[in-house]
Amino acid sequence: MEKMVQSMMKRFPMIIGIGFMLVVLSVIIGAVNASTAAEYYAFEKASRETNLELAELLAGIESTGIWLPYFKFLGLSMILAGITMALGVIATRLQKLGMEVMSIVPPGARMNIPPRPRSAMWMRIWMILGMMVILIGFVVSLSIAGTAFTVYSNPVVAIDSASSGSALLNGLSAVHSAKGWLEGFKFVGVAFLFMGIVNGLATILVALKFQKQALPQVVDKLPAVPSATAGD
Amino acid sequence: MSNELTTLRRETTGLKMFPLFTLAGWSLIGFAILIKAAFLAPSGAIYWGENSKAIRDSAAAGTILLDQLAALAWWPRLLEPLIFLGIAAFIVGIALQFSAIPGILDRRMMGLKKALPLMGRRS
Repeated sequence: MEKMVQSMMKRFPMIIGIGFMLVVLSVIIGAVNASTAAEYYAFEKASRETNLELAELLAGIESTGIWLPYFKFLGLSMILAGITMALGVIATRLQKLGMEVMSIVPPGARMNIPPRPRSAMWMRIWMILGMMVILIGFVVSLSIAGTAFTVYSNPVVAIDSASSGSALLNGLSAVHSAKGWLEGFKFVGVAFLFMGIVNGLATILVALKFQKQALPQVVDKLPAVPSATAGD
Repeated sequence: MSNELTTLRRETTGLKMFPLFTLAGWSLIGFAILIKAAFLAPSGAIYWGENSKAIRDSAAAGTILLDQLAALAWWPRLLEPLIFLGIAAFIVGIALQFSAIPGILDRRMMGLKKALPLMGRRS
């Protein structure tokens, strides 16, 4: 399990690359959506509110506006997860560095390498939790976007004249209420990922503090080295 | 002290690339702020402030008023992902700097392994 996690951690450049690509892709989708919106609003209000083809344009604009932010956050989260993984690799490398250096030190001067601090475990937990929250938010946003597409495919006059309790108004209410609570997923997920980064940095600090304390003690216990030349 | 030790040597692709990402981040966010302040804010003020709802609702296709509305719908939808890309570029820059550390640690380990046996007190 640990080996699998370590090999996953080493792939952080790939995760960062994919994340950045998702953000670039969201810019392209955003630009297309912006053009569609410009095309839609160039029509006069009466046509916009009654024409069925224009209603489908609006449905596309509204539904993209719901899922696209979560897609962007998915990309950003992958970049943040990549940073956390890079910190994990650095912490592991520091531990390996300590072990390898101690292996060449004479047994009398050797010091025990402390076990991995708890923050290393928390770093992984926060990262996984953050990614899960963001992924759930993205999946839910896709479902809400589907509902929004169905609702806004109807002309605005049909939506405005829908009677209470109708499927159209129920759909509209689902879309508007989801916009309120769905927002939380993005920021809670990113907050969890930042917690992962904080714990990763704390792990590195623990390793560096140990090295700072251990190195003078090890050097102090090393056997004496003969002077190079008498004239020195 | 040699120059090599006092400056950050850009020996990995990540260290060579990170200033580009930081610059891209500043450029994208700066561009978005400029467009918002110089174009969207005055345009919005004119469209909603100087035209009553009746005039706005009765604007015919091809008029300046509807062109303004189209622009007011287009820019925010384009700028939001661009700002996000700018923030992502900043974070990728940070990630590139972090990614250079494992290689530097490897070289430090090799140096330390060679130097440590020579660090004992001189007899």
